[in-house]
Amino acid sequence: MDIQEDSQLSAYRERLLEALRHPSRQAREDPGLLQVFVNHECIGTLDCSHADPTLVFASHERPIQTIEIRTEAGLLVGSFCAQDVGAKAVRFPVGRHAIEMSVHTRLDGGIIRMKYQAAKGWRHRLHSAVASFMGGLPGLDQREHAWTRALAVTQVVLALAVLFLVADRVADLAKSQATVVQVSPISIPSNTSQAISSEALALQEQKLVRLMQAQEAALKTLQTQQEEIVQVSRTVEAVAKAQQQLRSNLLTVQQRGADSKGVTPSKLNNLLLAELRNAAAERKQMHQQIQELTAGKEALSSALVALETRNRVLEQNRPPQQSAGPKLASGPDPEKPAVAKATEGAPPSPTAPAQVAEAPRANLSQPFTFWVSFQDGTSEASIEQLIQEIHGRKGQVSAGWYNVEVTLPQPQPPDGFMESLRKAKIVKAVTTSRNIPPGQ
Amino acid sequence: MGERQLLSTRLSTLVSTVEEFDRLAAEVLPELLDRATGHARRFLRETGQWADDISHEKLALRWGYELLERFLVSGRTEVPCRPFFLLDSIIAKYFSQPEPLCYHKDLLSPLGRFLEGMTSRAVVSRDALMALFYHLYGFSQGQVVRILGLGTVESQRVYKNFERWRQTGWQRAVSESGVSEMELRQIEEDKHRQPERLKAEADRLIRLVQTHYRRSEPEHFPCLTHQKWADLFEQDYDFDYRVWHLAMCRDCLVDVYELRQDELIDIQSPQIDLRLRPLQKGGIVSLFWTQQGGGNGHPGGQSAQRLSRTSA
Ligand SMILES: [Zn+2]
Repeated sequence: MDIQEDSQLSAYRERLLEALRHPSRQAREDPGLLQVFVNHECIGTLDCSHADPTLVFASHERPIQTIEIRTEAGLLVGSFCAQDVGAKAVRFPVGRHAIEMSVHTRLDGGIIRMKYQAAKGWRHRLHSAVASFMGGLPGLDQREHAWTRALAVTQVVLALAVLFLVADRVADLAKSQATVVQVSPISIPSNTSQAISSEALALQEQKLVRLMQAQEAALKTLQTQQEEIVQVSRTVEAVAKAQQQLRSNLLTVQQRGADSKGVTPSKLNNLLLAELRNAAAERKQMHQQIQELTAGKEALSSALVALETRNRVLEQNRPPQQSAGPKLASGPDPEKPAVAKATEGAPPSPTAPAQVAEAPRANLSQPFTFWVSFQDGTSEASIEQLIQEIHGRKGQVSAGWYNVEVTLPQPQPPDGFMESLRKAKIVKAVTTSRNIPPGQ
Repeated sequence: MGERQLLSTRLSTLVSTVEEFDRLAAEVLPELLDRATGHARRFLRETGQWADDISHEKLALRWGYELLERFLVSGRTEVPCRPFFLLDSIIAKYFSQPEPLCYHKDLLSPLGRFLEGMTSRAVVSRDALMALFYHLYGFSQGQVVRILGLGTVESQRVYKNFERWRQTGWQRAVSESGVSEMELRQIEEDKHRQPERLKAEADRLIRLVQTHYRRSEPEHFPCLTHQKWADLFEQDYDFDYRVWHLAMCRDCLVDVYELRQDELIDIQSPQIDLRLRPLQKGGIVSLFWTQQGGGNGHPGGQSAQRLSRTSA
């Protein structure tokens, strides 16, 4: 490259640096339509001119790697790069407003929920003022006096708008020098975060004896189910609200049709159709949400069954004489205990803490290696989950057989463990042939 | 040397707050850009898409820039993090996608860079997407609204899109694509001297670029059959789909035009009619006068020259 080209290149570099330094990211006005990109594909938009727009997106096959939110001008206002599998909540500022997003990434897909939250400006304050004013008007019949009401509202709006506009401008002017925005991971309320509770549980798992662990897990499952139920009821509420909105939109359209003589029946028809289409789209979104929740619940209940089985097995293996409460294993205990012998036909006993057996310490445990194969079509994720559940360490995989090592407490023979493993839905066969993968 | 090492150490250490991340990123922005550009250069080299010349250097710089922009925004959600490692991981992830860059050696010419820059911008900006109808075919906002059969709300948005594009969007897109004012003038000159040759060249390059960038649309957004397009317009739905696909697919645009010809009698069929500058306010009026005076009845070279002067 010659000198001229060199200077051209460095001028270009300077321009790009300048653009990075001043991305004019602090758009203060309503951002309008925000485009949402997942793995660089536009998957939908958030229309910020609507009240509290939300977007839910579920990917069923491909993992979610990147999420980007851009204005219509292409300005990047939010960007998220999934570093690992799990759940995360993020808040992106958009000028004075914000987007709250929760992402749940899995190996085979994920879910994104996004909500735009407009800063409560003069419009909101005005709205509340009008609402309270309207609430104070006695005996107005909703339908017959629609126009009277509209007139009254207009007058109030005009009067208040002037006041609020003035006040808002003054406030904005004062604020305009300090619009540098910040992103920070939002703190998640404990009752809505699966991520945090599972992390916390993971930590506890290392310290608690195994029965305590099973109980904790069961408890967690129950909690999660409760959360899911709350979420389902929220969804149902939203559906109801959408229906209500549809009804009121239809009323408005009819009203408009009745009031304006210039509207032809076909135009009216078009308007109605458009409203119906909007409602249908909204309902589709709700439907998708409900489906996701149902799938989640199914997974949870199967996990619960597995936990119960494990719990039962543990109970049956309890040495009869020991009767301490659940104790924390003293010191670091990296060895995760595993399920031991199962006794066929023994009734499951309720697990009261006072009767819980003390778990054997790590130094009493023995490693046990076996081979396991899974039913056709079992996903890697389910396999991983099962191995995690039994606290196994995965070795080589050969011809559909997985080599797994677990730590069994001495002096339990591994037969019971193998027996209970065979009962897992996804397991096809279990064997102990040590060195050569079976079936070869 | 010592300073460089110190810097590299700082960028490899843990940053624990958003403020710290912003401050550090602002301080060492040039170094970050160089690192990202280095990654892009290496990717191009390793995939046999490199030559030691200014257009390749510009391409690497541009991709370094785009990736760094993502890092600067997404890094704030990743604190605590080690900036260098995070940047590397974001870039590695980006380049591990199938065909992450739109590369073709013919696209390294000023015209190629212009078309590629506009189209890649259109993928992330609706303003740019709408403007493509003007830059490629010379359609004004009103004509775009009619061809796409948009409703009232969508039409208003199109006017806003054109307005923002005129004010800031175009300048930014051109600046980012690395096409200099001199190069723009050169293309305009070519267009004036050899309109047919430039048109053929643009047609060929647009196909290359559109084929690459159409892949970024969701899988359920393929080219539609004639009948499906007819249904879509008749039943009046899926505005987003029309806008996105027709801006990115010339074949479908021609198909739709033919389908709706009766309603579009006063609009000429979508022919490549390259415009380098954004449509000016009242541009169509001046266009009209130019056409009347120019006498060839085709909104081509002369009018574009005239428009471009008003915007320069
Ligand atoms: Zn097409």
